[in-house]
Amino acid sequence: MSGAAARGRGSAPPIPPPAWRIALGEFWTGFSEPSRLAAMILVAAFAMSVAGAFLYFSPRTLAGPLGDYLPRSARDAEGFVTVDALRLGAEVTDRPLLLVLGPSTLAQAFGEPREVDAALAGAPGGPWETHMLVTPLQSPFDQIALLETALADRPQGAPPVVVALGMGIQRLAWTPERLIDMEAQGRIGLRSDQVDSEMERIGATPRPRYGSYLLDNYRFVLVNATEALARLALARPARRQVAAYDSGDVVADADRARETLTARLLEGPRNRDYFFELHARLAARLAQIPGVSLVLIEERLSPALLEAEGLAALDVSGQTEFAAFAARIGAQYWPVMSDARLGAAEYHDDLHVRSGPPQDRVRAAFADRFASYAARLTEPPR
Amino acid sequence: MSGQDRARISKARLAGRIVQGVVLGLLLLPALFELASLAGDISPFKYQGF
Repeated sequence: MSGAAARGRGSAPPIPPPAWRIALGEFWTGFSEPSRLAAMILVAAFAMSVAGAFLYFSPRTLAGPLGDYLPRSARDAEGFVTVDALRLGAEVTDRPLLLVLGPSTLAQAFGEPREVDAALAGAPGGPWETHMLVTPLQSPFDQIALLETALADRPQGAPPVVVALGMGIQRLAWTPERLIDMEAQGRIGLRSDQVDSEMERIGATPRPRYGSYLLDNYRFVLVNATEALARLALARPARRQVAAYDSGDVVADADRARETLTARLLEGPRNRDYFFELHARLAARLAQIPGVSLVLIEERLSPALLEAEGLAALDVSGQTEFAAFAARIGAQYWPVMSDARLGAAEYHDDLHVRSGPPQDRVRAAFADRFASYAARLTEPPR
Repeated sequence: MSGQDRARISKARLAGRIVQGVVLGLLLLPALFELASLAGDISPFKYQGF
């Protein structure tokens, strides 16, 4: 065979690629190149997602089943309490409620609501339903907003509600300046007329309102939106972990950075007049809501801190002051963490007890006081 | 290439354009949210000082 003949056979027309391969190439061309159609669809999809965001970030939607997708993670306490408060405000439950409010110290001491429910299983008037409306470094303004939302429009004859509000010497340092600074951060997704009124009382301008949940709470929405929309799209809600403050090894005394906390504790007594006036107003508002009663519960710091920094006397005088204040506003003060006799070894750091038996003791001490209190609350009038 | 093949290819390019628009349109809002958080220095841990 000559060379020319061989080349002639080799130059036969190439086999065309299969149609699916051409179609894939065309799809990629359409997907990767700008076009008028893609731009129009982009604008439409963006408009729909904006509309969807306004619909999702609304009290009604968040109070419903879709609210489960709002919290960013198991430890997003602000997201969980926002949804919880909106749900409580949207529907009156047929069970008596225990609402626990306070910072991480209380969250860690009480732990998961189901464990508090279990500790209160035998309490009169039950079964009681516990809601842990606790968030890290919770400010009194956060508490006002949570209570205003959760107890909104509570009708006469609704089951009783016990509000357990954390109280400790570290809380005295919530000065007006610190409250204004924290309020500006909008960490929880709730707006409150009462908080706005308290802001004006201390000479601050409340955050603006626009008549839309998303805009009124834009900082909260910006913090949560991406994760919430992703969780919603993947149908993967976060499950809350309330007692999330003792992970890792126990923090050694030398690593506890006590200067800031001690300075704050020493600053507190100078702010006591404002602090107690603010809480007296909160108590007066709660007293106007049918079936709601208030107890103040102790947030006790580690005995190791109190001893090392010479704060034991301040702690004792604080306890006396809280008990007297509670009596003055017609509430009670329960030193439940003192009742539980927690030693330094039961603490993970200066603010948080360790999980397990120390929490059991705090819950048992609380349940003990709660039982007699609930008996008085729920006994029929004579 | 047959007319049927050409029609299929044209539909594939159209589908690519539609998917591009939908994907970018849906990602735009979260991207703007994140950008606004960055520009506004808004962080869930700001209260802790970082």
